[in-house]
Amino acid sequence: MLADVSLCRCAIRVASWLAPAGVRAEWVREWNTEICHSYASLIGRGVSRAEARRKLLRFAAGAFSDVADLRRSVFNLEATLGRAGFCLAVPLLVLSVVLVASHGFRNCREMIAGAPVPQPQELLLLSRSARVLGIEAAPTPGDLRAWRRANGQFALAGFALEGHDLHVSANFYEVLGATPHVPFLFVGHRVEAIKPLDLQTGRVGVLGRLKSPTAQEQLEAELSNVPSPNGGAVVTKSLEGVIREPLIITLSTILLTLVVGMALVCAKPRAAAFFFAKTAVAQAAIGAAWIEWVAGPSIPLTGVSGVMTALLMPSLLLAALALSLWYSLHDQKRRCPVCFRLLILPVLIGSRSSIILDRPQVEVLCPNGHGSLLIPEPVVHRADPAAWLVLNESWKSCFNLGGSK
Amino acid sequence: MKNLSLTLASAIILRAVSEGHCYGFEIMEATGLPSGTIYPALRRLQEASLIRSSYHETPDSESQGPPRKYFRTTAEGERALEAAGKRYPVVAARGG
Repeated sequence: MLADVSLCRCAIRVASWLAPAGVRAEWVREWNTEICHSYASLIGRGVSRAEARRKLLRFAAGAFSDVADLRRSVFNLEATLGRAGFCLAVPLLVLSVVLVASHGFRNCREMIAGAPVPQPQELLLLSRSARVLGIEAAPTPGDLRAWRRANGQFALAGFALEGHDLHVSANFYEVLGATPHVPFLFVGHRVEAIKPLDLQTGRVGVLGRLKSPTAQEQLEAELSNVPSPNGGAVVTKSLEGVIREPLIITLSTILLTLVVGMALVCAKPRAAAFFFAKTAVAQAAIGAAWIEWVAGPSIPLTGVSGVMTALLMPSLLLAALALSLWYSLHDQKRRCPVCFRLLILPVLIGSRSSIILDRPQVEVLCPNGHGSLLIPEPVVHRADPAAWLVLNESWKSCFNLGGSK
Repeated sequence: MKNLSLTLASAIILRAVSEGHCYGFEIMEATGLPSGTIYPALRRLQEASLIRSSYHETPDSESQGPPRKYFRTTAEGERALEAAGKRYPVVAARGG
């Protein structure tokens, strides 16, 4: 008999994953016993085994509708929001949305892989440092022409992005080493059309290719004596370095906040692992969204970052990650250290008029009865640390606070 | 008693229970409704105290096994069924 009903039992087991935990065992028992008895009853009535299997499979298929209805009927919003899994599921969901919306983390992948051209490590972006304070400036078309005249060994190509149109000099593909088909992603920017570069004013990006890994200093030396209307020395930057800079900044900031968070939380290994998981997922979601929609499209094609890119944007990223860390720490303090459920039913005990014998404190309970947290209210100048009171098994019967749902 | 306005499906299921089809599979066979409709309806009928359920050993010797859940109508359920029969003639006809 077991072989004949095994598929039905398997369906019941799969459906039971959707059943609320508190009623799951009872629900599975009801369906399984009904299937067993019904099979015996059908066979007893002379129904063939194949026909009995077919009828019972049809019967078992209804378990999915039943369990969906059961879940709807016992759904408890407060209990669901308080679950440990919920605070992991939300950032995971955000991360999934970012994954889908960004075409599989397209900018992150480009930053890791580098430019899709032969020997991308040989590509350089050229800019100028100003005489005052050494601030970098993007080259002008005049700089490009002067550098070309002064440099006989290195091919230099100019380009500029206007909207989604990339304006390029005639030797751009030769320097790049590839002829990309539009549309394509160029240093985090979507290019939909390529046009010839005929700018006389404004700023351009200057791309050069090294002939050997040690030639970077040679190129800088060759171009250092080129007179420039605005003065300043030539600065070269690896194109890969420019592309990967936002990724490195984001990962470093996430790592920093995680280290700070782990130092602040001071929890037992299990609680620390939970804190790390929820914080890391949340920070990964923020970091991924940042790279895909803020940092990626803001990579300066000229190699020169403006004030917004260089200072304000990393500061905003740090602020967003710090806010996420603060919330994660705050959330951790409001959870049971055993089951990580949010503590509920805050009750003020003590008296605000008494600061010695009956000090005011707020007591919150674990919905599963693992204990209560006593949070002293600030008196005079600061509050004492909160104290966790473990409740033993004898208290369990007093708790029916929706913890098992 | 919770005031429940019986749907046609609930009334048919209640009629089947009243007629002595007291197990989930039996009710499915008697009514022709899918089990995914029957069990949620049984749960609602039970919440409305129109039926009650309990586990018991089955009397037939061929289905030895753990206790099986069976349903039976309450007095309130019989009254509700009578009222439903006026509203849904098909339910009354099934019972007749």
